Amino acid sequence: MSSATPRINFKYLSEFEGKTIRIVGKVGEKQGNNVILHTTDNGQVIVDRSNNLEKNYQTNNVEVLGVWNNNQLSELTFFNLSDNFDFDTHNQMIDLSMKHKEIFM
Amino acid sequence: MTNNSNENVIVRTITPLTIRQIQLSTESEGNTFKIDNEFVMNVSLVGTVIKVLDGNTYTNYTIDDGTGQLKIREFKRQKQNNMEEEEEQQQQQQQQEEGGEGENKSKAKEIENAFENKYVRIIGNLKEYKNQKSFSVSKITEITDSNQITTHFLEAILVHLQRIKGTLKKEQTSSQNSQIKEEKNEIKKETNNNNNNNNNNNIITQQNTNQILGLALKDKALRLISSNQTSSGISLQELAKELKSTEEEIREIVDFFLDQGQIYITIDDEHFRSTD
Repeated sequence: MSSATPRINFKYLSEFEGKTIRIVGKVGEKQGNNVILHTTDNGQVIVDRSNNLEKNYQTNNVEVLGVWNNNQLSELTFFNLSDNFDFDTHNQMIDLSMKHKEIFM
Repeated sequence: MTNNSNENVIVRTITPLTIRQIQLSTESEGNTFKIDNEFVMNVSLVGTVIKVLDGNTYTNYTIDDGTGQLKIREFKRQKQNNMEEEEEQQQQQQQQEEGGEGENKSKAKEIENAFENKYVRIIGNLKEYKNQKSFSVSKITEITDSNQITTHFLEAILVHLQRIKGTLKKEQTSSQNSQIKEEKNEIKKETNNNNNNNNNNNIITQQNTNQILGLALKDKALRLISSNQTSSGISLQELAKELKSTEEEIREIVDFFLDQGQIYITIDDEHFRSTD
């Protein structure tokens, strides 16, 4: 039984309904307990931070680990990423990892 | 250099892996594991620290890299050739895992906090110990340039493909060749994009034209490196000049040989010597 929390981007979200996943994005607007995350493939994801409010994002780019449900990502934790993070390459890495799932999930 | 006829296999390269690959590996010879049909000993992982257990002689980390979770241990006093000591430490560790005695909870919490919300790179040793997989850590460091996360997974994909599909060989059919080349070109393009800021659009066309010349070039490169007897070895620039090739092409060739363990770097990562 795999305990994988796959790295995905916006376009793969529909395949992971109800699953725990990781998604990288640029931190956008805050809306109450929610934050908008701009993903590496130009999608927008609403992140519900209610379970992790005590910790603040410390960088402009983050990877959020959470459960994707009903068009919202319920954050469990996040990871700070450096400002020079290359979105494009990361995006293509995700596509390649989906082509070679055997070593990722 | 690997020695397949012996129980004690020695592998000098570091293999970038995902935890999933480690979880799936079952094959081993002696106490060395095989992944994608190749022996692996020294392994690099990139992931996050979920839990820390701190004991008197070791620190236990639970790592998650998005593909799975793995318990790894860092011995505090490294006595490399002392099997007895390691066994004693393993026993102590088992006791501690059961009884919690000698556990330093506050130190563990301190380490957990230090690594919270951060990615780490781990270099370690994968071997079999009492029929179980055991991962002992040589080095665990925080990743400050997050692009290293992307690069690590790209490298893991690349090495995985090279090992299961083989590197470019004359005997392969041309359709196999072009499929593998397409995937490797994609990966190499991403890895190169990630590693430097230059425009690498010409790499794919270069690789296509070098399909036939490629093998001859690799051979020449290895011969040049082997013939250099100076302690600092031959430089990337010299190789490019001698072989009338670009530094980028030479970089690919030396990376291949470094991976194979046929050459090593000397004063910096642009100087090489042969291991023979």
